[in-house]
Amino acid sequence: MAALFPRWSNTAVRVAVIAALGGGAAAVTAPMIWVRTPWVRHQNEPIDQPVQFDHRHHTQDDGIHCVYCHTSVYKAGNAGIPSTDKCMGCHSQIWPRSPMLDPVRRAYFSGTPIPWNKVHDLPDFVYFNHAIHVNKGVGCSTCHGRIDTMPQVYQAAPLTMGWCLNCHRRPEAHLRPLSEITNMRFEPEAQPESVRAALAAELGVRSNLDCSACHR
Amino acid sequence: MNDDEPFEPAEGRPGDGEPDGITRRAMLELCGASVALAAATGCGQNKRDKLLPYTVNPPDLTPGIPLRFTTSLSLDGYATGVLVRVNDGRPSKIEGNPEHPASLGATGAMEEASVLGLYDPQRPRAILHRRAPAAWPALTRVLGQDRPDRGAGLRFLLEPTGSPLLGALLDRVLRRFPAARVTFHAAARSDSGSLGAGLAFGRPLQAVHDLRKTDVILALDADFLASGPFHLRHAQHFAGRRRIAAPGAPMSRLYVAEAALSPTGSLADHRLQRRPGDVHGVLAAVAVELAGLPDVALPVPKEALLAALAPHAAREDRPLVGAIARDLARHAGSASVIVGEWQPPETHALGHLCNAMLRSESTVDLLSPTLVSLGAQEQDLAALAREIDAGGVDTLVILEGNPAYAAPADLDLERLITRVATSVYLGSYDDETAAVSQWFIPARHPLESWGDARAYDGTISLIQALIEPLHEGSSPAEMLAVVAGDAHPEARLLLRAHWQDRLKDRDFEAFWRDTLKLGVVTGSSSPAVTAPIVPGALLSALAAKAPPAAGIEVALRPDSRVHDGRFANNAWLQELPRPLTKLTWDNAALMSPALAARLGVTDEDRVRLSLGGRSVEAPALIAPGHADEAVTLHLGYGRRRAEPVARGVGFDAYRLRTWTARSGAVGLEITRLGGAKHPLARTQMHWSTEGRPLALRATAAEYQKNPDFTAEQRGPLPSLMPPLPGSGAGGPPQWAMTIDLSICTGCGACEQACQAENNIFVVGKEGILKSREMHWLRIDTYYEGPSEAPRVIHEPMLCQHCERAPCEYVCPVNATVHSPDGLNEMIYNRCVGTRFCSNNCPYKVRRFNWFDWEDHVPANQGLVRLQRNPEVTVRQRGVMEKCTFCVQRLRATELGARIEGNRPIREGEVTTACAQACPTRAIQFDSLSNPGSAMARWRREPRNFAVLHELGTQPRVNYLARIDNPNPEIG
Repeated sequence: MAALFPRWSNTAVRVAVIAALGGGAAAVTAPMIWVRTPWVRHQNEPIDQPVQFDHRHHTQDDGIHCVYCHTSVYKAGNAGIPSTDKCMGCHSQIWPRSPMLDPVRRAYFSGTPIPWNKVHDLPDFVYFNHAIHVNKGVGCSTCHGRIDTMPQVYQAAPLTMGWCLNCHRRPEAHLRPLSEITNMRFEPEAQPESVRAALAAELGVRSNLDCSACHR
Repeated sequence: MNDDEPFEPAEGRPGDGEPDGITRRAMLELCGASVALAAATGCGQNKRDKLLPYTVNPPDLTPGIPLRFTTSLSLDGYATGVLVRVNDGRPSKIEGNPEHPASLGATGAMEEASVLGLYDPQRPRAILHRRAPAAWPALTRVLGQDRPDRGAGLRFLLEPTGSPLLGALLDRVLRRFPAARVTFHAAARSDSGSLGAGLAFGRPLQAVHDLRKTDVILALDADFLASGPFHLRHAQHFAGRRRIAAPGAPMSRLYVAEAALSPTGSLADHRLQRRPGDVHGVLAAVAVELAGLPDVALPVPKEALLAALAPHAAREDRPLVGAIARDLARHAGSASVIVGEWQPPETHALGHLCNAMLRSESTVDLLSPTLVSLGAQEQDLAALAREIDAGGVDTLVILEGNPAYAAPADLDLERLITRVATSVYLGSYDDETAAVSQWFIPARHPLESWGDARAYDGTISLIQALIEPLHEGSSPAEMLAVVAGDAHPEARLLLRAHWQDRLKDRDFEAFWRDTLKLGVVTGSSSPAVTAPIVPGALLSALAAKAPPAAGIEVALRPDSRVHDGRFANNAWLQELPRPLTKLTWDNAALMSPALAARLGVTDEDRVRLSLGGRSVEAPALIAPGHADEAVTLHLGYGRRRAEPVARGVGFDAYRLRTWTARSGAVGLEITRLGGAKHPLARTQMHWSTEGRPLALRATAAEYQKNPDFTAEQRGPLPSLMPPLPGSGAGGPPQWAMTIDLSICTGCGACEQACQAENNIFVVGKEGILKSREMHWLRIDTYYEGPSEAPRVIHEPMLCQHCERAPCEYVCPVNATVHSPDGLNEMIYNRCVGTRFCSNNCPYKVRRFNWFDWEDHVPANQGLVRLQRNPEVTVRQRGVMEKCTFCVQRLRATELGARIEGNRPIREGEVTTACAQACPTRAIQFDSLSNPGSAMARWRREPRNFAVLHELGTQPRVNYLARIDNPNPEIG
C-alpha cells in the first residue's frame, strides 16, 4: 500500500511545528522588543513645528543663551516656551518681512498663541521639574542632547522611566558644575570620578527613588 | 393554516425566532469588533500635545508657578477675606486670608466650594428679554431713562450689603429718583438681632463676641462655630480657649440650648434640647437666677424683670439653670451669652441684658450696624409685596437673591413679579425669578467681579476680579450705576473712582496696591460703642412676650451646604455630607427618636408636613439629640426651576415659610404617607463605637486625675517588620498629623478643601447610595449614651499613613509603597485595581474609581475641568486613591528648600489643604523633625492616641482625646 502521505510531508510537519512555536514566541517577544525600540517613543524623529525655528542658528550664529528664551528653567517646573513678544523683540527689526516668520507675526498681532508641538512629552502622571535639575548640576544637554546642533528639535533621550531611574539611582555620574549647565559641549561623564563626587557633595545631590518624587 | 392569511412571525415568544436581547452571534461580532477597535486605538494615534505660550507674558507671571490674590466672598452682606490660588490664569483654590478678621486664615465649606461655581457650565451666558436674547444697550435704555415720577414706581430689591461702593451708588440712585424705595432681603438672615438691640439699647447695635477672652458661654439656638457671619473667627478663638494644653490646665465651658444638634451643640458640655420657642425660657430662667445672685449689677428694676420673666422661667428646671447662672456669674467679665440668628428680638434683648449683668464689656463689642441702611427710603419685603399688589410699582429691579423661590411663601412674590410692568433681574442662574422677570441679566461670579465689602466688624475689603468674565454679565454695582445715569459703567472703574473720591488727600495708587495685596483696608473696623441698657422698652417687650404654645414646632433654617438655595447647583456642596446627619443630595425632616416613634415614622419614610394651610412632603430622618415636639427643615432645596445638578434634589421648605414666621412656627401637623420610602444618601450608617477605643474622651476632671487614660492606645508595639527607612536623625522630614478631637466641630470645611485641592470627583446620589463616595477625608461622628440626649464626638478620618501599613503588604504590584519621609504613597500608574489594599485597610480610607467619573457623572464635565489642580493627577477608572498628605505641596516645598541651598523645611512652611482650612485649627500638620511645631507639641500631650493602635499599624495621624468640661454642679 502506498504511503498515505508523501515523504516530504514529514519535513512539512516539522517546519509547521517549528513555525508555530517560533511564531508564537515571536508574537510575544516582538511587541516586547518593539516597545523597547526608539521608534515607539518617536525618539530621534524631528518634529514639524508651525514655525521653522532653528536652534542651531539662534544659539550658534547669534550666540543666544538658552535661558534668554527658556526663562523659567531655574525657578519653575517647566523651562518655559518664550512668549511671542520675545520673538518679536528681535524680529521686528531683523527679518521683519521674512515669510518664514509670518506665523509669528500673525500670532503676535492677533494675540493667538503659536501652537508649538511638544517634543518632550511625558505622560500626564509624571511631574518633571526643570528647576531642581538645573539647580543641582544636571545640564540641558544631559536630557535634551545637542539642541544646538539640531535644525529641528527631536527627542534625543529615551525619556522612559527606566532611563530616569538610571540617573536617579546614581546621579553623581551625570553632574556638572553649575557654571556649565547650559554648555552644550560639556561632557559630565568625562570628568574624573572624584570631581563628580565632590560636585554631588557640594550641591547636596542624593539618589531619589520615591515614587511621589515624580508621580502624584 | 389558511394560505390567504399573511404570515406573521410570532414576536418575542421564548425559543421562537430571534430573542429580544442580543444574540450569541451578534455578541461575538461585537466582541470581535471591540477587540479590533481596542487594538486600533493603540496604534496610529500620534497626537502631540501642544505648547501654547503667551503672546505677551503678563508681568509677574511665570507659567507653572501659581499666584495668590486677595479678594472677598460675601454671604448675606458680610464679607470673608480669602486668598485665591490662580494657576496660569485660572482660579483653582480658595484659601483663607490670615489678615482678614472674618477668616484668620481659615475657610468654611461654602468659601472652598465657591470656586466650582465660577466654572459651572450651567451659568447663563446671555441677557434675556422676554426669554429672548437681548443686548445690554437695550437694557440701559430701559433702566437709565429719566422718569417724570421721580422714581415713585421704581423699586429695588437686593441682598443686604455693607459695600461702601453700593452704598454710594444707592445714594446716587436715590438722589436721581428720590421717590424710589429699596428693599434689602436675604432669605437666610433675620433682623431679630438688630430689633433685639433696639429693644435693649434703643438703637440697632450689632453685638460682636470676642471669644479670645470668654471662659463660659451660653449659646441659645446659636451655631456660632459653624454658621453666620464671623463663624470662622469665633471658631478659632473659641478653640484657643477650649483646647486643654495639659491635665489640670484651664479650658472653657460651653452650654448650648438648641433643637437640632449643630456643630456647636456637638461640642457642648451641657446641651439642653429645647424647641426653638422654648429657648427663650432657658434664657429667662438663667436671667432670673442671675438677678438673684449677689454681686450681679442689674441695670433694670429687679421686680419688674422677675415679673416679666416669670411665665417663661417657670418652665425650666431650677437646679440646672441655677448652676448655669452661678457658673456664668462666677466668670463675670469672661462669660457671655450668645443668642442665635433665628431667636425672636425679645430673646436677643434679654441676651444683651444678661451680658450686661455679666459685665461683658470686654467680651462683647457693640458696633453701629455695618450694613447699608437707607432710613426712610428703605422698606421691607412685605411692604414691597403690598405695593406691587396694589399696582404701585412699574419697575422692579432685583439684584440677586432669587426671591421668586426664596421669599416667604405667603408673599407670593413669584406671582407678583409678573404683575410689574418692567421687571429686571440680575441673577446667577436662569432660575425661578428669571422665569417670571422680563429682563434677565447673568450675574458675574464674585471671582470675576470688582467691588468692596465689609466684614461683620465693619472691616472693609476689596473684591478683586481674578479672571476675565467667562460669560456676558453684570454686577449689582454696574446695574445701579446704569440707573444712576451712567451709560457704560464698569465695576472696576466705579470702585476706583469711589475710593479715589473717598481718600481725597491720600496717595490713591499706594492705597489701591496695598489694599489689594493685604486684602483689607487697614484700620477700617467699626469702633465699639458703649451703650447702656434702656430698661423701659426692654421690660415692656419682655413682659409682652407670650409663652410658647404647645404643639410641634417647625424650625426653618438655612442649609449648612446650599445655604438659602444659592449653592444648590454646586455639586461639591450637594455631595459634602451635612454635619451630624451625613446626609447628601437631599434635605429631610429632622425629628427626635421619640417623636418619630410616636408618629410611627422611621428613617426615609415620606411624611406630609402641614402648617397653617400649607404643606410639603418630605422624607423623615431621625436625628439623635433633636428636641422632642420639634421638626427641623433646611431651606434651599426642592427648586422648582433648577439647574441640572439641583434638579429634583430635596423638597422646598420655603413653602411653609411665612413673612411673620420666617424662623418657623408652632402647630406643625405631620402625617405619615404610605408608599415607597425616599432613599436618603448618607455617608455614615453606623453611629456607635460599640465600646471600642476608636474615639476616646474624658472629662477635664478625669483627665486631671488620670492623665494617661489613653496609654493603652499609644506607644511602641513589638513588630516583626524592619524599621522604617530614613526615620533616623538627619534624614528627610517625617510628615505627621495630629488632630484634636476636643475642638473638632465636624463642620466639613477640611473635607471640602481636600476635594478642591486634590481633584476629587463627584459621584452623585446614586454613587453615595452605593457607598462609592470619593472624599479622601471623612468625618466620623459617633454618638454615645441615650439617643434622646447623646454625647457626640467627631473624628476626621483620612489615610493614617501607617508606618506599618497593611495596604502596602498586600498590593501585588507595589502600587502603594512607603516614602522615606513617612508617606504612604499611592502610585496611580502602577495600580491595576485589585482593591486588596482597600480590603486590608482597617481605617477604610481608600477610595476606588469604579468609573471614569468624568464620563459617568455630568457634574464633573465641561468647564469645571478648568478648576482642577494641575499638580495632581486626575485619576481614571480602575485605580485606587486616597489621602496623600497633599504630597504635591510637600514636594513643591521640598524642591524650593533644596534649591535654596538644601536648607531644612521650616516649621509651618507647608501644610495640607485640610489643616489649612480648619476653622478651629483642630488639624495640625508638620514634620516630626520640628519638635517645636504645634503638631509635635500636641503629640506629647498625655491624651494623644492612635486609632486601632492595637493592630500595630503605627499611624502617622494621631488624635488627641476629646476632653469635656462639664459643670460639677450639674449631675
